[in-house]
Amino acid sequence: MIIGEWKPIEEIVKNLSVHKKVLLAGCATCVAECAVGGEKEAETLAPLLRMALKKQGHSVEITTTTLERQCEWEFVEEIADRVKGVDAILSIACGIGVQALADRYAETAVYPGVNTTSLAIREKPGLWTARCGACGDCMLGETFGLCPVARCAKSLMNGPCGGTRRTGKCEIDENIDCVWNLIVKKAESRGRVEELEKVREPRNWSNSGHGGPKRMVREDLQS
Amino acid sequence: MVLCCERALKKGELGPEERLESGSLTIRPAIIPCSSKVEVSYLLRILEDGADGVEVIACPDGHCKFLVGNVRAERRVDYAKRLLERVGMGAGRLGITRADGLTRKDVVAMAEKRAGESLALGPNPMKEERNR
Repeated sequence: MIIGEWKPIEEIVKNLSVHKKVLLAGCATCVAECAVGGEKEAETLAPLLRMALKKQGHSVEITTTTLERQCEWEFVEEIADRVKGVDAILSIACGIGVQALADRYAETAVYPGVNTTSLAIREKPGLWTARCGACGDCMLGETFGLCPVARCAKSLMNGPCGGTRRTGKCEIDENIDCVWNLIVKKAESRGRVEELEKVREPRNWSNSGHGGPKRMVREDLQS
Repeated sequence: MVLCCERALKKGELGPEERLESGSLTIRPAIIPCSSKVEVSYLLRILEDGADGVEVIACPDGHCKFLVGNVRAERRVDYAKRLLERVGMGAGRLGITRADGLTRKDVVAMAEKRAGESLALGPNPMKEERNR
């Protein structure tokens, strides 16, 4: 799922303080799963912002709605009537949702309430960790299902590096596993360590962000 | 406002719609089936609606009908307190106590304690909004 974190309240308040009526729009998909932008979070953030704005002397009316998905036009369309009555939208979806609203409701100010951070998995309740870097050249088949692009601090292709702790954790944070340590252990447990010793072709980074904005076309699906 | 788990109260001690008073303090207790039902948004909405403070009363360890609902309630209250601190409302407006066998007098004492901490932070600015 796509995960993110609330922006600093001060930043959101600063953006909203110049408006009179604001629609706070949640998204019931990824950001709801990571407890940042779903209905529950919209209903939590709204009273918090009303109190913060009031405390600073601003009178802003905030109403809430939660779209099934902010990244699908059909769902984005459903709030058209609600948008007519406000002068700003605060989206707590990922960056894709924010842009979809800004695109469809071009006459209305749209602000992000969330900093989108990564593609992650819920490891356990209350803990989400990055799993995919959307690099465009997946190598999980060679690394025993563990992604060094997203999970190695240096995105190394040939770890572990010298910074791996004796505990098997990464030098940048003792709570983060060294993914190359995990890869090697998994290779050992399968008796296939020699596969990691093979010289591999350089990866095709041009298929990731380095190759410019990604565009995917399926002519058979186009109208 | 007091949100009180029914397992924390002595049986038959408080009615569902009862209001308590202590000097100039008006206490609105709400008996709830389990403190685990208290969401962060409820706590914030109560303060947004003008309450000076909210005290959650949960049952002790091992008494929760959902096993760890009282522990979760404590974590949620802590989270809500941090949010209140971030917007300058003051964490002291919220609190949670774990107890059982409480009488009406005990509930009033807990509410008084919360009111004391809340009022030390000044009046709830949202009260003015509600009275408009």
